[in-house]
Amino acid sequence: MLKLLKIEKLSESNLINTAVFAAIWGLAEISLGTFLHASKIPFRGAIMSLLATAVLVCAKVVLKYKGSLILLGIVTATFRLFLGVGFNITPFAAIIIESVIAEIVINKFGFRRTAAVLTGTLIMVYSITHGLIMQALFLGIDIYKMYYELILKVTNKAGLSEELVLILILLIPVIQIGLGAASGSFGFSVGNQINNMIED
Amino acid sequence: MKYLIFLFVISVIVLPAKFIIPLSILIMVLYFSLDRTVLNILKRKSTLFLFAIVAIIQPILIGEPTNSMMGVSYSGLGVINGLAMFCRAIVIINSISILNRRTDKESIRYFWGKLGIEQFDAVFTKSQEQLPEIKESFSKSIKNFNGKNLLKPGKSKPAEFFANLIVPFLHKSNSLSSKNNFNEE
Repeated sequence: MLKLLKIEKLSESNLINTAVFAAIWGLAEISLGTFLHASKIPFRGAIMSLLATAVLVCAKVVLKYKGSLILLGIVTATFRLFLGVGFNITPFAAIIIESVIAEIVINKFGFRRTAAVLTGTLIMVYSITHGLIMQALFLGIDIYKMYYELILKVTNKAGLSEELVLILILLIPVIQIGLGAASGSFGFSVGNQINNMIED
Repeated sequence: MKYLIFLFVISVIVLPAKFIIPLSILIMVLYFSLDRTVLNILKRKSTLFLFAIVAIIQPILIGEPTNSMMGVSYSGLGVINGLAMFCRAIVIINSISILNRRTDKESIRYFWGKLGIEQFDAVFTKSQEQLPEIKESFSKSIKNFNGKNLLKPGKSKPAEFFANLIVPFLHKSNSLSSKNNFNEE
């Protein structure tokens, strides 16, 4: 991480291109983030993480220097902190951690579709964990005991089996992770298109 | 002040439920004297929903019923635990919000500079300059967007559509001809 943060002096093109991707991601964070915050749609964090995955993966095709995605994440997170509405500290941390995940995975495995899919998967795993950690931090670890007991009470009253409810609960993160992988793959396709267009 | 805020946050995280409620009231009184808007959080629907779940529904459904009010039995311990959860969340959210409001761009720049990210300032400034132009271009493209075209054969695919949006803003002198070469350092 500290090695990745040692970013060399950027060339003009790297500086401009990092700024462009930060502006695109920042714009999405502010506009879509504000809309989702106002509309109270569930899984807002997951939706923003899908977008982050696509931007991070396709940005790496242009921003090839080491630590580029971390710098991109830091600039976007700062945008979100100062321009976003609502409670911006948790998205601020999430954006930076997501960019660190993408930087590590793509640097380790190279820019290929499997690495993009793995990036999306890991970002979504983080996104799910982020929500769980934040709930435990804000409400205390007892919140999970409370959720569990509430679910048991409701399922018993509705006459549903515990196994069925457990499967339904586990299905949500599985779907999210699948969508994360798809988003990584889509980001890879956009990145390839960008590469082809610039080569032409 | 920021150290005191950190101390408050740590206190509401580690202290047992019965101490959290009076401590939270004291902290909120102090925060209110600093910033009159801190109590606005109590008007939000999401806050009221959280309160209903943890402090009203939970004691009725979970735990041994020890008390009764208007014919509804509930767990007294559940009420204390639920209120403590609610108070803890309110104190943490307000603490972070107060710290956030007191943080300016200069201190953020200083922080990233200290971590070795000296390019932050240049990229952030450039990004702010680009933002209105990108916003206008994206708004135009989204207005003219026809979702049906993306699925028709011969028409642009979703990846191509998004690439078309991004490419005009990129600096062309950046050498992109050698594919997948950034991991060869």
